[in-house]
Amino acid sequence: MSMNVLTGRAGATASASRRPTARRVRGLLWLTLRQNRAVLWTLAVLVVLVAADLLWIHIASRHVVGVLRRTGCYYPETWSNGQCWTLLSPINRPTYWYVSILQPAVTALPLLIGVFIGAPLLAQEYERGTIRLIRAQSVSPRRWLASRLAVPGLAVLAATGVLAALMSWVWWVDIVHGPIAFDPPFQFFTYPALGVAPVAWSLFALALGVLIGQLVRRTLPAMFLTGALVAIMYGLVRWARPYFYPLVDQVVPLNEAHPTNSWLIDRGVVMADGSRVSTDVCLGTVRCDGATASWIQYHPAAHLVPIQLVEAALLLVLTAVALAVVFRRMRP
Amino acid sequence: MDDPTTVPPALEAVGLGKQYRGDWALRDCDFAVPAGRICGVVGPNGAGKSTLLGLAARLLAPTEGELRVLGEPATAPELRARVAYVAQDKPLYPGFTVAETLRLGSELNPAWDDEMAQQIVEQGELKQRARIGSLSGGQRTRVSLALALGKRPDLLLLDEPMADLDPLARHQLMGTLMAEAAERGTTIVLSSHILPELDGVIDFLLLVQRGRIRLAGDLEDILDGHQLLTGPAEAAGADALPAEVLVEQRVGGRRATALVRTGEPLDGPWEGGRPGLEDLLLGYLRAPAATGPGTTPGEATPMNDEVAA
Amino acid sequence: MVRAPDTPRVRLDPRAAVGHHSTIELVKGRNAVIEYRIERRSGVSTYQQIVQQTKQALRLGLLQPGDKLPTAREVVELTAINPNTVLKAYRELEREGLVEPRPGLGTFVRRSLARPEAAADGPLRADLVGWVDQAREAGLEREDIAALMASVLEQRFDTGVSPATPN
Repeated sequence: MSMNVLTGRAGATASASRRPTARRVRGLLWLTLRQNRAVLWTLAVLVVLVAADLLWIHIASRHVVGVLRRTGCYYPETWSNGQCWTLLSPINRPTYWYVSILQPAVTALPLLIGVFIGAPLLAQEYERGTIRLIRAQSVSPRRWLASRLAVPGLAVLAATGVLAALMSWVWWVDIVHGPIAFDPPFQFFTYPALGVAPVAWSLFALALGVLIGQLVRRTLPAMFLTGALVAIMYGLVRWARPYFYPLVDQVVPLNEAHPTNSWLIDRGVVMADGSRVSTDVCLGTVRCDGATASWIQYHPAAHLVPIQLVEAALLLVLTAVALAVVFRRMRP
Repeated sequence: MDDPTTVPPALEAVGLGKQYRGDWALRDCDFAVPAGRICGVVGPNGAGKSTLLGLAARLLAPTEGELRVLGEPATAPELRARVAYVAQDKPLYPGFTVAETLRLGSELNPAWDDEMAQQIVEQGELKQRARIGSLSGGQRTRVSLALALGKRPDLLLLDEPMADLDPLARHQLMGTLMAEAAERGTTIVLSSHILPELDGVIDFLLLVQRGRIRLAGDLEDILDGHQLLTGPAEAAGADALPAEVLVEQRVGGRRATALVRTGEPLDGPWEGGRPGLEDLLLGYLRAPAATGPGTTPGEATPMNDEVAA
Repeated sequence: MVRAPDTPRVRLDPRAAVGHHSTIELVKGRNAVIEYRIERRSGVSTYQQIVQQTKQALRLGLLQPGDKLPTAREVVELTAINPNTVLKAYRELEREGLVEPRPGLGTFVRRSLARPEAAADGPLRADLVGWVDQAREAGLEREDIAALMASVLEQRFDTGVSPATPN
């Protein structure tokens, strides 16, 4: 054995040309793909599962709608008919899956991404000391960091992009325009599972997790802290969300409801002298007895897109800030 | 091996200091390790050995002073490819296989010598497909050293490299390190608190104690400049030996032994001899730092002379 | 695993693996030419050990003029000692005119220290063999004989200077 060491060294100088060939992925990209193997697989499996689920929801809804149309049971007026009601009831299963399982799951996805992908990403490198292994290589630590973040970042972008698109499509085609269309877009589990919200929130949670992991340097505390901060951030944004876009302010006939699918922010009555009193104040008093009309402040369903864009822009700015801090803190 | 006037020192510290949360881990360090040497960084646990190596490996930024590595400021990006470092805890990715870990080395280092790295791993009879997390401490050390040597560095920084190894592996890997130094003139700086591990291996010494450099210089010169004296116990009085040369003395039974920092014969009933590496280090490590050089400006001078020599 | 014909074959002594000593054996043709054996705890510096052992081999005729010494790399790979030590020892041998470096080829023996009187078939050796046999018959152990021999050598040669003292 020891002889091999000695005599085998004769050819060592020529070893540079003897590198294994046919490697498709090289350098840092290979390392980051290898390091993110579990993350990439998990995201891929998640996308496939949710996509299959959504496809099933779509096909099942279409099937029920087809049956209803053929039997003349499509319109709500016919549903008092027992036979039509029986034909309608299979729609409940796909609708239940969408509204009660997929929407909450997609709502929770950014938090899970922050906790399980973002927080451990650097925390584990510090906790296991492998950051020092990386620092001992010839590559610049910031270049490594860029690659280390780009691969999961793009994977999260792609996965949540696909999920958000499919969720929005099924929502639009089968829920909103379905026979029992009722799922106002601004609801707690509806809004975050629509449009650009899942993508923007996931990227933000990922970046926040990475930053927390770099600051805390221990995996479990970083995961807990990231989860708490994402939840707090969600609460704050939800509180501020009505003001991301100008409200519609209307005076309507007394006690008239706000439009279907809109988001009512505040309402009250207009008194004879033209002054406005919020409904909350009127309750159980005689103060509002002389009201002449109602006033409502709300976001119509059409405000969904601009509000989501403003929110996404805000989150992406915060994401960029978090990443800038992470890069600055990584000594070159 | 090269002309010392043209080759810059592998490590050169001027007033180097590192502070952690108010405590100085290392302070007022002035030394130069010439290129091509095998330098032992010795001292008790917590003396600052790892801090010194961490500074050289640019894991840490100095709080004060300057450290030059291979003639460049320690922060120079060119040094990344020229300096290899193995940390004391031998960090590796536990989920990677041995083969993947070596591939990491090949992908991230332009001068990678795969044959060299593979031989070190094969010498330890490690399976290519074994997960790092399933290896013993000694096997992980072997993989870490394969990663460092495969990089073909000009300066190899090893923090307690042999601590986890069995005697066979220790001998093999030390032989491999020495062969690398012989063939390429690689400077090796290794820290250890296992003194026999360094005997016959190092030719340059940095003795670190309580964050200060107490001895720095060519090992032969340092040993020539010291004597290990033995004499009757009565000879070991408080002022029997001149305080400015006495490093440490002990009385055991009827005999007294003393380590003195001079090559010149001394008066008194002493029999002297050149100390071995271990005698020297133990003498300094046993002596309280207050009696050694480096604590007062006047006494620090001989140490600086050794650096210049 | 093809080896150039002039490359010395180096073998790791199996005992060396666990102890603080290693052996290096240079094989020329079939015969071992030199064997460095580094004792870490002998108190003699590794540099002196190499010088002494080379001289010993020259004295005993094991190394002949023209023989190549192992390269520093070969020595240190198996003994795990500092390469500068080997180079220093070779320089010392060169200074004494015993070996010469040939650039790009290695270090070669120039001059033998072998004395016909000390050769394996010489009369002095035969006398010594006879004396050792006599001592054993008288009941002396190996250590006793070695101690006696060392004591006599010290008495007959200069007591102050031991060959182990540097410079």
